[in-house]
Amino acid sequence: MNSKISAFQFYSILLLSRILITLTYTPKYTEGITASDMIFQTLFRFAFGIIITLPVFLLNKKNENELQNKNGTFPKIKALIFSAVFFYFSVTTVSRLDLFAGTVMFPETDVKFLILLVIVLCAYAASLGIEPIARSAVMFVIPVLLSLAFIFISLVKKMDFLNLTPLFYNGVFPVVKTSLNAVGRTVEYAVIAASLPFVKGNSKKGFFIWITVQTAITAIIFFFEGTVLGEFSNMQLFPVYTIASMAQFSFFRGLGAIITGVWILCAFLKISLLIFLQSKLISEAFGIKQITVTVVSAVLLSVVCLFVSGNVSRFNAVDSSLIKFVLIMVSVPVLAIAELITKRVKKCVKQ
Amino acid sequence: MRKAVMILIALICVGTAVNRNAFKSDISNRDVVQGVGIDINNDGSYTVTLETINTENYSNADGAAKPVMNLRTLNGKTVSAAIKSAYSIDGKTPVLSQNRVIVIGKELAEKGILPSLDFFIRDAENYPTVQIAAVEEKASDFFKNASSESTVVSRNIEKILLTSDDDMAVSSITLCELMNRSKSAGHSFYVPIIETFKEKDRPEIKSKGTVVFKEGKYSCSLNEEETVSLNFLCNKARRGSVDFNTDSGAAAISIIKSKTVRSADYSADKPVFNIKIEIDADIAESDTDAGYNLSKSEISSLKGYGEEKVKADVEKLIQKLYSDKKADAAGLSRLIYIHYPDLFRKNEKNLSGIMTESQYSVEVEICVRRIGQDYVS
Repeated sequence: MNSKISAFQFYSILLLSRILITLTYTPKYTEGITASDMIFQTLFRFAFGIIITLPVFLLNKKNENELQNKNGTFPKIKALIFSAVFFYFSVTTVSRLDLFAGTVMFPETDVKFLILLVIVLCAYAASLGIEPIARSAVMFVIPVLLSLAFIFISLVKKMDFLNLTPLFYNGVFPVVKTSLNAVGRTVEYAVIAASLPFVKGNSKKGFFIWITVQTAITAIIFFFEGTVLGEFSNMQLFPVYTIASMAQFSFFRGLGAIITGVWILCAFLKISLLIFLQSKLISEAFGIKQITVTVVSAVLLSVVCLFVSGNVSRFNAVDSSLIKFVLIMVSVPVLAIAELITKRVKKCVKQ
Repeated sequence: MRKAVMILIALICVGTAVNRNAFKSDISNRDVVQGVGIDINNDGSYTVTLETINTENYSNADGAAKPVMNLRTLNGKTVSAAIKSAYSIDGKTPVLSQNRVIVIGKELAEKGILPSLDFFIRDAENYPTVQIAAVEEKASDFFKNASSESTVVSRNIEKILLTSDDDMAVSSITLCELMNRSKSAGHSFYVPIIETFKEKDRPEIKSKGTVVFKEGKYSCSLNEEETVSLNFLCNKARRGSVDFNTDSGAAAISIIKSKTVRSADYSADKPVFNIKIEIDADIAESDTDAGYNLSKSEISSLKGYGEEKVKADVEKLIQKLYSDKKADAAGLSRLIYIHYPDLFRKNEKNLSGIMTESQYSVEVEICVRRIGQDYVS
């Protein structure tokens, strides 16, 4: 990446991207854990997130990230792995948007056109480079946070603390498993691993602020979900949308439209970022024109998403927690540790 | 590149606009549902009554008044099949996003209401905040009896149920709250009862107590006085009035604010539920001469009578619910679940037994904030 963005811009994109994951989570990922456990597991996520990202920071501290290198096989393999991960996550992000649009926004309408439109717009945004995406993220991060705060303030009257549950009622294992699932769904760790060499400023400090803020926001969202919906959240496909639709303000019967807006905005930025990263990594590693990779990536994304669109069985098969966990583990800690070990071995052989 | 993208976007927009389903969104092609009544038939099928807005009312050029609402009775093997069958009758798609209330008929209440609510949870348009009410007749008959040319029955029901914050004799429950309670072990919940009556030949609707459900089926009915106690017990009483008899006549307090603190204690051999009702009140009517300036001892005496009355009523309700009917309509077992999870897990299958054996300690504290226009002499 010739152009660099600041740490604030970078983590603003990641914050919106992570908020999207929380807003779009469905209870099938939660191993049936109860309301209080859902809040508590954000702490496990926080710890796991730091642990798996440590090798990446260690690698960048020593300025040994192979992505900065344009020659050799390893950067090519690394670029391919990251591109595959980003492609997979863009498929699941678009598919989930499709599921949301087809279930909540336009239940009677075929949303394939909408999905195609989103992909085309995201590919276009990606072709303009990382700076416009970063600037948009900075511009939108405060309104998005204020919108969420507004929704939650209007839900205060509907909170019932009796909806909370005893901690670890079904044991600790489901809570740990849920938090590992959540870590697996956090493509932002892979984005950090792939983009860190190209971020200006103190990215380590930025990372800690980002992970703390996103953990706090996630915990707050789950707190409101637990106290407002209780067990009812397990009956909903998108519980966060449901609590927003229950928020009442003045003559507005529900504030679901705000969540819909935030959701589409975050999805747009996230998909644009993922397409941009795929095209950038592949074009730099293999010397192909970036615009060509962007178009190919968008076409492939459209084909896969149209195949998955409107079919819950296919969506469930594609949106697998296990596949996501493996991909994140391989692309974040395993790849960074392997690179660190290879460098050490090479150094020892030279000496 | 930019031109190609613009052309593609334009093509997709045109494609979306000519989508066949886009035409369905025309308001005159939709049945905007305001309320749903559900009855069960002997063969297990459902009769659903839909109160919908007459969306063709705007074409009333002759000046003659047309009914504001349409009432439609539909049959189906399931609730969803019955509702969707409206489409085959007039070609209009029923839209549930404006649905205000679900009215449960008497027979359905007796057979169990939970399966009939599944559709409303799965339907993306229906809000979880929709109110649930029960009637002591068929829901279809209720809607017929309550309808007139200028009234929206469902909105009136919603208005009445939403007064529960100001009138403690009215209870209310939303779909979300009801489903939440139905997921607890040995679950019980309550639903307000409404009825229709004639006022100068015009049909009117009013609240008529509460019906308690145990495991989804009718368990018992509570009158208005018991509903007040239920609201106290559930920490849902906010404002309203309590009247009582004193040695020298009748008096009433007006509740400015009420809060019930509920806690469970399992330090002895059986759970003890402590229910503390804190009321801020105004003396609405004293048992003395009209306008008489109340003394400190008289205020204290009225306060005592009020406390006794609320306490006795709540204790009577606890006896009825937990000993006689074994129905945890106030959701007190949730306190055991939260504070004593091991005890709860051990007795999950016999929760009503534990609740019957438990001790209930009711404490009422009335703080007289105002005494009308007089001050204490």
